[in-house]
Amino acid sequence: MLGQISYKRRCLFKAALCLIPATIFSPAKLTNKNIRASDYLACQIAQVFSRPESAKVIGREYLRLWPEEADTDFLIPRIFSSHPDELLRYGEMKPLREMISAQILSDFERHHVLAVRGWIFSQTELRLCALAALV
Amino acid sequence: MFVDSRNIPTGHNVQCDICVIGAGAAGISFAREFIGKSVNVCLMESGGLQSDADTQYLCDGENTGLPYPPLVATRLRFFGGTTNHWAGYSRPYSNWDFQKRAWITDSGWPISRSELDPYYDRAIEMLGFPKEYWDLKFLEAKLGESRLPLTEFVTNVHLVKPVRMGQTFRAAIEKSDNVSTYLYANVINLEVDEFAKVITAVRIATLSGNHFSVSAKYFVLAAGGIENPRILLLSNSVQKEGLGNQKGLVGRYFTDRPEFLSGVISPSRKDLPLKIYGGTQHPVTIGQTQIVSLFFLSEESQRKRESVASCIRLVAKPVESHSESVWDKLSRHVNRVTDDLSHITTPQDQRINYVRQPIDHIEVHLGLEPVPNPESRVTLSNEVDRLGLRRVRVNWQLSELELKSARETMEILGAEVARANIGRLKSLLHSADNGWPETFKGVSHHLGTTRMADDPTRGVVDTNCKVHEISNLYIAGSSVFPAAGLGTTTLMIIALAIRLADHIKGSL
Repeated sequence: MLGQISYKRRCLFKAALCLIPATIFSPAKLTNKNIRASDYLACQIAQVFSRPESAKVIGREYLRLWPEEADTDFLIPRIFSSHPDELLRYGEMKPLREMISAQILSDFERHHVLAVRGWIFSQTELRLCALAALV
Repeated sequence: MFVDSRNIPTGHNVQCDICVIGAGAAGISFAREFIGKSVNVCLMESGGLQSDADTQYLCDGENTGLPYPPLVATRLRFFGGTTNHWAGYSRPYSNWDFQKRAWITDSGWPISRSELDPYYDRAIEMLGFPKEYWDLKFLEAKLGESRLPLTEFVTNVHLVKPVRMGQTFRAAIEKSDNVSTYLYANVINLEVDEFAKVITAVRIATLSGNHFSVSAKYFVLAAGGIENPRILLLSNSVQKEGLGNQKGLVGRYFTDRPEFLSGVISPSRKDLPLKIYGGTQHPVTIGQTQIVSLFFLSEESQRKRESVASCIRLVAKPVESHSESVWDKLSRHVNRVTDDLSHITTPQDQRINYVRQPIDHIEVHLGLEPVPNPESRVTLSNEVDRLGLRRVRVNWQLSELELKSARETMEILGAEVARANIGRLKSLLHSADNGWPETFKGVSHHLGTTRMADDPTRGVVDTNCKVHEISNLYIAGSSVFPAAGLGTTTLMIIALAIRLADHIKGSL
């Protein structure tokens, strides 16, 4: 539990650092997905992991194999078919979890899987881990 | 009747109607069909009634291909042959195994699977298998468990009963008046007429030094997938390239079925219904028959991916067998992450607690159908055995298609077991550097070296198992299999031997 709290604090701190310049210099763009608010979103999404250090280990392995994906702006739209920021606007995790669940099951059904050191994961699972590793 | 060939004087000639070379699964099954008939059959066996080192060492040879167990250990040279260490796995070949598939060169059989139905029935009766146990629905009801819900795989039941044919059928053969078994009789040459079209006699030698010959109307070579081509290649006094080998096909298309530890499943729950799969700590048996079911990649999936047939055998390992070497450093993190994500994907009311007792892990053993490959072959080496005969050189090769199919099968299995919340798969094929993992091996079934084909340019024997080029020489055993498929070998050897016996009965 302590680890989780400290993780959330770190996330909030990082996200705050991202958001401060955006707020000062271009407040109108806060709602635009293209600004680094995706880091904040990534932090929120990564909260699905109760032990984020494990997700980070796997995420780092994934990014070692696919370094071109080491960007929250790249990963988020590829994990979610619709816009997760919409779902997170009111701080609700439930719709987000449902969306992740559907995406993972869909990956398995369509055999969209990849191996990390031999372990077979769905692509969505690995990208979620990659997000956790980036925040 | 059993005869000790070491007591036969040199120069003696034995005469009979049918001379069978080799008293293993094929030879015994064939000879048994003639017990009590008015036909004299001589069954020539290289060894005695028990294993002895000197005779066994005649099996040795060299390997220049894929990793392979020592040839001296992969077959047995005494009465009963290799059934003396047969594991006993049995399941008839499927129609699919017999079909020509456009993406697999030289695939398919020149006879239909249904043509073998009556012979399979007789083989099954001979071995005493309860036929209904192959029916999955029957088994599910009997064991009170259902198959695992993997949609891309079909669950196929195998019955396991290692019948030692030398022991089981010894009394019947020994008592027979018309089947004579010559023990310690090593075939050193098939003698032919001047055109190499008719076998006139078989030259026999014992390790004691005496020589004699056997004359017959028909000869049946039933010495196994390695010795059959060896004997043909060694019999080169008239036809220099060896008998039946004008097209250079004897010894080609040698293959074995790869079957090896290819992954490990970290199970998601303790109550996985693995009884049908035989994957529990203790073998699941009904009476004397052990039950082991395998996942076969569906025909549709093979067609879609243009892959070879593959199958998966699960072996659950209990907690006591846990060894650190099974898991790598990543496994702890994988379990944590997948626990988290499965809690998202599984509704609260359907969730099963994660208790990894009593199963610690499940081994995944992958079996593959090898592609018929003319470059994979048995030839003669330059070394000679104690009888002065050249030993064999085995060069087993596989193609890229088997490796691609293996990797795809593991990916599909990984997705399927995760989707069905059975567990998470670590694939050894994906840990290896684009090649076969260190665990790679075959099952020591020697297939294809005198393959069956309608066309003499494509095979050594015809659909009746007669050597194309020779009028009175037939071949029994796995060397005639034109495609390995995923059915089990011994049951097919027996079915084909019974079929051959019927054919020759009709010719006498």
